[in-house]
Amino acid sequence: MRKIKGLAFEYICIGATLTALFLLALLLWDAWDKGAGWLSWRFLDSFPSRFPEQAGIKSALWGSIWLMLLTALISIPLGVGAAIYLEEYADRTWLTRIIEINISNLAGVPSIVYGILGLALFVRWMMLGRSLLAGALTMALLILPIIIISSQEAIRAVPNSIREASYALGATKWQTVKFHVLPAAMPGVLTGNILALSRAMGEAAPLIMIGALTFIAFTPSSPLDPFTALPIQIFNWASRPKAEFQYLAAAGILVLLALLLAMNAAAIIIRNKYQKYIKW
Amino acid sequence: MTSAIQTINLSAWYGNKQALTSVSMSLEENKITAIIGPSGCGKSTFIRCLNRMNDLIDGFKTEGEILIYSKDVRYIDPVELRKSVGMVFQKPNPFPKSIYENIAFGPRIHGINSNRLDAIVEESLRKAALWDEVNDRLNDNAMELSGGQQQRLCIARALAVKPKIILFDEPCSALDPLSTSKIEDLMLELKKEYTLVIVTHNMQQAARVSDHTAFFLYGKLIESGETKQIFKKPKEKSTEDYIIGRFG
Amino acid sequence: MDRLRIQRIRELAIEKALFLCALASILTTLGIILVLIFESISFFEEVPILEFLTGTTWAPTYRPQHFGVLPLINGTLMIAVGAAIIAIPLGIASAVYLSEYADLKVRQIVKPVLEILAGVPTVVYGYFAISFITPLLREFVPEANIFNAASASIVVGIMILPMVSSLSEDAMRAVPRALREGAYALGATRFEVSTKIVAPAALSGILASFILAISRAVGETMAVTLAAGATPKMTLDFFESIQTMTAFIVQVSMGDTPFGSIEYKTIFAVGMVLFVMTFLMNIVSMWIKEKYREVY
Ligand SMILES: Nc1ncnc2c1ncn2[C@@H]1O[C@H](COP(=O)(O)OP(=O)(O)OP(=O)(O)O)[C@@H](O)[C@H]1O
Ligand SMILES: [Mg+2]
Repeated sequence: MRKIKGLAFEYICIGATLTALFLLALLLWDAWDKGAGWLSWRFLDSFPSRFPEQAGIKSALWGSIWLMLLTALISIPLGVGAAIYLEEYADRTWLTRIIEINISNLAGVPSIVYGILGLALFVRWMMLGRSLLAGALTMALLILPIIIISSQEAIRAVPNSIREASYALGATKWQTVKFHVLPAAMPGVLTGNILALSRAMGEAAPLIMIGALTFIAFTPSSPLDPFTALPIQIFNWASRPKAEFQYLAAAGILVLLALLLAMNAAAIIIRNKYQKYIKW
Repeated sequence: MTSAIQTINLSAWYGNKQALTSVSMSLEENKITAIIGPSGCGKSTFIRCLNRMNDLIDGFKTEGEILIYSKDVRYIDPVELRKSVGMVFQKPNPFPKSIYENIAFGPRIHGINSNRLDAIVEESLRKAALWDEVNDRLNDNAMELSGGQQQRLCIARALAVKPKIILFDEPCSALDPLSTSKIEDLMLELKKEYTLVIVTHNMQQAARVSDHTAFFLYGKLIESGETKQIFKKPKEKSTEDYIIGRFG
Repeated sequence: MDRLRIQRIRELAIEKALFLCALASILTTLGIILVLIFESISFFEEVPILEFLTGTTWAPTYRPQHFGVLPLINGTLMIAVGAAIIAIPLGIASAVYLSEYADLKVRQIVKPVLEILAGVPTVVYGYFAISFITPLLREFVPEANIFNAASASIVVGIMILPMVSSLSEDAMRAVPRALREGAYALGATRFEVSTKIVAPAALSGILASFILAISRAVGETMAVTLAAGATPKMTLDFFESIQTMTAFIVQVSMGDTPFGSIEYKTIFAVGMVLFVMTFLMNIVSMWIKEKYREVY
């Protein structure tokens, strides 16, 4: 009896895990089933259109690429800088403690709330309008906690013996950080940053808040241009009842997932490549 | 005889925990001083005070004076201090970079002109008796060297910033006997130019290489003197107990 | 000596700059709070706060206007509860499997897959809900609305499942081996060890993961906007169209409400409620985890 109970329990647990895997497969299959037929070079290279056969994701794709570059440019220096401060410089004071609690709290704030902040702060107050820059600033704040936390972990994993070796030679703190700690932590930092950016890549809600448009028939050429992005385009198509637009949404999803997959693969490759090299 | 290092009533604490109690001692120039004592007696703490490495630990504080060539270390910029008081650690800790970069780093941050680096790298590696083994692979990663080679690389790295004093914290405890004897020979060679302090758990090693020996117990300096005297006729009972192995 | 002076000044400048980077996170929080407070205050100058918090009709865009936020909260909680019903049993069971049963090889495959599930953008889940779940649901429940709380709950549940699973697994794996081995030595089965030893010992971590996951569901936006509808109402029927707080905020910001109008300000009042709710949940979750930081 005890045995049967145990076995049943084991199967339940396995079943739950398989369900999760099955759901992922189902989700991918559904998007592939509906969207694959709509994937084409023309789809990648056309602007959105009222006519599904002519519609494409050119502006969304370029918008997303621009947005990611700008977001990276803002959030990585800020986030890695904060991580360095917290790990290497900060004394264990109440202020440090508050900053750290605050960061883990920020990580749990819904993305749409960042959108509200972006709308009030960047679009209205700083008068950046509904521009790429406003979007990138908002996204940068959104992923900042993730970047800080993952960079902190990477920096913490650098063995203290490296720091001691450097200090013992008369290096200053910044020299130690710049020449030894950061390079050694770099694979971890990069991996974390790429994963954080891939989170930003898929976010739609904050962009809708700050007013990214959905119907844009040009590619941005400066950070102050209006823009659209992949998840927004997908959202727009998905919210239209006509079946063809649903298929377009699926095709857009395939492109988005492919990009995310590429980013994740890059992160994994970086991690594995350097892990081989540095074993403490 | 000049003393390179002198401590006067040096006490040290990690937070509330006292690790050294009123240590007064003077270490002579161009000699090797061995520091012995059971685990946890404050040997590492003592030598890490000498180059202010423990400043980096939260809550660490000292009282008393440490004079390096008659200058109080509190009034020397730690960067300058560590330039003249080098350190070699228990576990070899090369930077995960090329052999060349490991050695060039010190001189470079101290503003040495880069066209002199090649010469400094060679000179340091020669002094550390490593040149013959690595001169054809200077751009290889230092992590690929053997443990003993890594430790000599760390010594070369310390030499490259031209210190006057070098502190060794159990430099051979992670090494095989052959590498150990190489490093011991090296130390005997180095004392012509440098003042050496070595922490060791190995009584034979202390007896073989050092000129002076100091015995620590529970954070206190129990006795110090000529190595021969300490090993043959210690004044204190506890020193004798420790040396003949009747202790911890 | 001059070199040293310059070096010291540079070191100080760098430290200050890095400190400012760390301060940015505090400023973000302050920014969120200040923006929400200021804009909400001007909203509450026009709408009494009591009416807002207790009213059961939400109709800010047509006349007569009503600003009772309860229907939106109701919708949000329905999604959160529905998602929890899906995600908690599945998540905890798969956590038990991964932590107590699966060998290293299986884990090395399953965990990354779960991570992928966690990394799928929410708009994709929204699409999945309307293109797959809703039609399927309507096969079984023909009277279900095209937009309904059930579909949205299901996908949000799938979305937060990896979170429950991986955080709970972490908590269970943190239970020391010795505790398990003691029980096995007494002849306990794996089932008994999992349920009577490991789960209770990891309880705080598991609870914290639930709360965090529910907070995620409360703040979820795109999937509910696409699948749950835009009809704020006081209902408990999962097959009806509803509206969550987040979906409402999206709706307003996509329309062309003029800046400064009362409709525009609702974004901030509702955003405030949303922020406070998720913030409290995150705090509680952190607090549980801290407070019961396993004293084995
Ligand atoms: N970073 C630290 N924080 C708190 N206490 C410490 C720290 N480092 C050392 N101590 C304590 O200070 C005392 C002296 O330690 P120290 O490392 O100097 O001993 P040691 O003689 O070098 O021992 P060993 O031979 O094991 O290396 C010990 O009781 C130790 O526990
Ligand atoms: Mg020691």
